[in-house]
Amino acid sequence: MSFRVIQLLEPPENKLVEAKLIDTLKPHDLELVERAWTPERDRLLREYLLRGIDRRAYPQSLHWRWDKKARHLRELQARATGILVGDAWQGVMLTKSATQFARLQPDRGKPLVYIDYIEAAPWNLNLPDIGQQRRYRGVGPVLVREAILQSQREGFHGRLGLHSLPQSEHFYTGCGMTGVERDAAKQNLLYFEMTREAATRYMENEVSAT
Amino acid sequence: MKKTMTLNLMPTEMAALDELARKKDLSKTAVIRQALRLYQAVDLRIEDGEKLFFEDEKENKKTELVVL
Amino acid sequence: MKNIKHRDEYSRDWLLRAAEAEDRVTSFSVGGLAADVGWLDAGSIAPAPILARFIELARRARNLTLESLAVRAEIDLAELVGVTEARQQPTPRTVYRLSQVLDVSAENLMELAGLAEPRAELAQAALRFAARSEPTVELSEEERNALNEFVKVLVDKSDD
Repeated sequence: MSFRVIQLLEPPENKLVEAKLIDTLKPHDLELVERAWTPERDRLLREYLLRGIDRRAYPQSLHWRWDKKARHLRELQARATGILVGDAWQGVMLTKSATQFARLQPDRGKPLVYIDYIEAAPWNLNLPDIGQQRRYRGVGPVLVREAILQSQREGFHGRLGLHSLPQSEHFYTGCGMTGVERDAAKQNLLYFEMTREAATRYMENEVSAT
Repeated sequence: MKKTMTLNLMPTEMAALDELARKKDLSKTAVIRQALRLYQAVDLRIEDGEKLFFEDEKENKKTELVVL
Repeated sequence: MKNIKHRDEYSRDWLLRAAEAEDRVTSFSVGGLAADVGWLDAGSIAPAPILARFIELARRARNLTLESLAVRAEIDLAELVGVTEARQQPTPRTVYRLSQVLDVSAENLMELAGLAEPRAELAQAALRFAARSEPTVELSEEERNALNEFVKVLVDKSDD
């Protein structure tokens, strides 16, 4: 298992925090992730329930289980990437590279890296309804950046695809991805694509919000 | 650590490989690797009991592609 | 673990700018199909996984086995198991009984179970309940309250 040293930001002063970005996570690692995250997910759920908040306002991945996603790693095309601060997992991403193809020109029909699942640790969510601020900033952007790098290494020039949960759409727009269409086959989730041009701009921070 | 393999292909196969590499804007090696990933992914799903279909939305037709 | 040096490093400036997109949302989660995500449509969460999680939490907090919870709530064990495994929608009566045993407001649990908004099946079930041969005076106070609760909701949403 290889890792790379990276940085995250710690509010409120946006202090740089050292982290490890690790790709090639194994099923056992995903079990460890979930073992750490499950009690925190439960704590958040309890907070929401105590306040009687409408369930439609809950974080939309609250009930997920990363240990259950381990079976995807049987596939050569799959890769799981995570970010560690100390020995605490801050975010995890599962990508696939062989079964999704670009819908947007000029690269329509060409392969891309598809983000199958991505999630921040429960303590890295901004939840104003229950008074929680994310502990570290940058987990999402760094993982998206890593997906672009993976895409470039594959020869896909940074192309990415994903189906966003409704709550997350503004983030991907903010990354410069294009909301292409809603897929009936994926419960009408909005399909986003990062073109090679948008990927280049993202890496250079030249994002114009679409 | 990468392993090396020599591939013997018929002219028609090589032509198809060249054409795919051109269309997909990939090296020939990358095409082969993608093909392997796709083949393996399909095989695993079929082993799990799933089925692979082609769907023609316009004609409202589904054809089973790979049968175990 | 090998430490691989990459040229692909980013500056603090890059990170600060990129993190602005993250501030727009509570979560950047992305994930698969409805069955996994627990979504029925792009506007609501399928209650089964959340309710299942909550019941598990509350049960364990009280050191109850599934069997003893089923007994205390006077509900069918098979149904309870189905609900806690998120395979099954609980009946309104089951949700109500669980709310009593687990000491949460019935309204909240109904909401969580996706039963606070009336659906066709619920309307029919409530009507059958009301049309039963037993005179209402023989309903327990709990059952009467539950029935009133459904009727109230149905009356409110009768235009849907």
